[in-house]
Amino acid sequence: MTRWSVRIGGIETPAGTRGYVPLPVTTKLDGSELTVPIHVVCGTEPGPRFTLVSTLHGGEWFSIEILRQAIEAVDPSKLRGALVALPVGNPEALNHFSRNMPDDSDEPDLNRCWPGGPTWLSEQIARAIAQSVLPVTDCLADYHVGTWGSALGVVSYGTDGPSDVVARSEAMARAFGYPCIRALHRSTGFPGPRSLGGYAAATLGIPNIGPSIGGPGFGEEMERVWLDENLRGIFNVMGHLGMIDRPTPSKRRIFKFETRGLRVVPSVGGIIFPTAGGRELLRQVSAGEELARIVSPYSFKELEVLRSPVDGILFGTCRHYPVRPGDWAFFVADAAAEGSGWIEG
Amino acid sequence: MGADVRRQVHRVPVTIDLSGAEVTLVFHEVIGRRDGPTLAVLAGLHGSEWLTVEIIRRVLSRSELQFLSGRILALPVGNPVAFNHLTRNTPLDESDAPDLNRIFPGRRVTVTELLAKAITQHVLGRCQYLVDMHLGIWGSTWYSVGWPKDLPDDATVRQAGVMAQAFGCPLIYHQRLAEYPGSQSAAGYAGMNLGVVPIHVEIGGAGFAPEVEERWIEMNVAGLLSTMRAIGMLDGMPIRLDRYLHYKHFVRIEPSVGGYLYPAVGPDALGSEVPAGTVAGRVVSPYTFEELEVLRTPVRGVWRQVARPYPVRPGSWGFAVADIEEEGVGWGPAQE
Repeated sequence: MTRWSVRIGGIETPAGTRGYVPLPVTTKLDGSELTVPIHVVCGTEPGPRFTLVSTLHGGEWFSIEILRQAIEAVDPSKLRGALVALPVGNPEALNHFSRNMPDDSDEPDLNRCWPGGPTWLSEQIARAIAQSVLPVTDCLADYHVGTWGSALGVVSYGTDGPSDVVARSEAMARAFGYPCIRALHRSTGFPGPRSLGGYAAATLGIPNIGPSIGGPGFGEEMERVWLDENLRGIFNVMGHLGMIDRPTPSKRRIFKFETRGLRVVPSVGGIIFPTAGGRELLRQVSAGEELARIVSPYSFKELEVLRSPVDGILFGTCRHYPVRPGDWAFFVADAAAEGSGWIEG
Repeated sequence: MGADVRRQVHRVPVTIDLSGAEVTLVFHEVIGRRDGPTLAVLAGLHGSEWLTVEIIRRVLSRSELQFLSGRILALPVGNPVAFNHLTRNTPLDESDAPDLNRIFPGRRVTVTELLAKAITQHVLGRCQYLVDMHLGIWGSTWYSVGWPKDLPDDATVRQAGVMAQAFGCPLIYHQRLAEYPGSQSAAGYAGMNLGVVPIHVEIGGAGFAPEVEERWIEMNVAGLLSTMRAIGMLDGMPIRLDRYLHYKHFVRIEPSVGGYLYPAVGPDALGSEVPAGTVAGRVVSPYTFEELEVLRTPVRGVWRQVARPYPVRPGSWGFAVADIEEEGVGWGPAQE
């Protein structure tokens, strides 16, 4: 066994072992210590250090289980490199099931404040991770899945960093194997230079992807499918990186698009009734096709009809649930936009 | 709906909130072709219990209502302020009474109590019968109908039993409103002070497979129509099951720590018996992945509440069993 290790926050995980690092951040007003949990599986041989991050937004907890199963499934004796997992990037927001930090800061969104700073909770969490985890990260996957009632189906990567970083990020996205990938101007566009992915790629040169597959509230069977897709994807990427021995997965056709995608979301509050149910990720939609109706929970009158604005692919969907203006409903990738189309995986 | 049946939507201004928004109570009134009793259907007193909106919407659109005798007063969202946040209680209400189902008739001027006052005046004060619906929030589901036994007179208690057993759920909770949910709950206040015959309905929850939730929604719709038959508002026979579980107490099995709940049972278990000591679920830390707590049934019982996998705080809705170890409790025919 080669003598190497992964050191995070002063805690060393030696080769061939598993480690846990409660990364200290700060003391909260209730007196408790805010820490960010980090799991490390350090392989027997050196290799890439692949970091998975989940729940920077507190409502996006569906991916906690993905990371838990991934960490538990990886055998350090058969691993080259290290798998590092942060199952709950924002414990405070998770406690409130809120996207953002429930405080009065002007930086409440943990995925918009990297590399962080010394003041607000979000900034301090970002700073702690940026200082302790990112220096030992060679590749990154930042999960942003659906919240209660919504589900997504895309793996994103950035196209606006250094060219080698872009190429390696795209390779990771393709290797993941999910049949829908989105090439974004992550650093200069959405979600921006202060998102974790945007910062990591543009500033630190860390190739990374943003898997967004699945969401809670759709029943055990459907959610199991999404969990399995995510796990398969993680192991596919690890195989691609040479971290584990894994048969090359069979090729799948992938729908690739190069825009942010079109949000088709309610502009009013009400109960959303999807027209064709909530199990239709990656199906084709036509311009003008009805996707859902919003009904007033008070008068029961129809308030709004959501229609696809373009011919495209549905990469975000929802189930029947109460929505506020702007709440997550549908995302459509424009099939006619430049750079959109089916490619060989 | 037939021409003889009239439907109105009432909007009652309650107050103006700090945002400038008018807090309004919206309820539906369906006036039947013949005289008869008035049934109130309350939902959404807790803002996180939203699946009931669809139940009421469907009931009010059912063609059976064209033959209605009497009136229905249906309130799909009792607490619109809490509903806006999908919270149980009125958010930002720093009073000592933010739970709308604990402060009837509403005496003070907090948002919550003003809502209670409006509901009392416009709904509870106008009905003879009441169905108060409380469904499971995201992640949990229930399966029981409450039959209040501490109403002021025996006749009212018997009528409540007729309604409860007609709803079509085999689990009948012989509840004492004064104990739970209390004399200032909507049902408690209306039953003990206004001469109203109330029942509680807790069937279903959100976050489960669409076909499962659909089954619960339709069960509730059928139950409401059956209840109307039982009290003479619709023709036809109400539902009468071969057997019911009449129970007096239930035991909550809830996490005492925050974490990720992994149930050992699913919604298919509702209504089935379970021995004492059975694992209902486990709570695992989403941080360390260590098991924090194992939830077990403390008594032999019948499942009346289960959960799906989801993150929980201490005390979050998990599981509950109807206690069948108690003497005199068991399965049997409908009771008077």
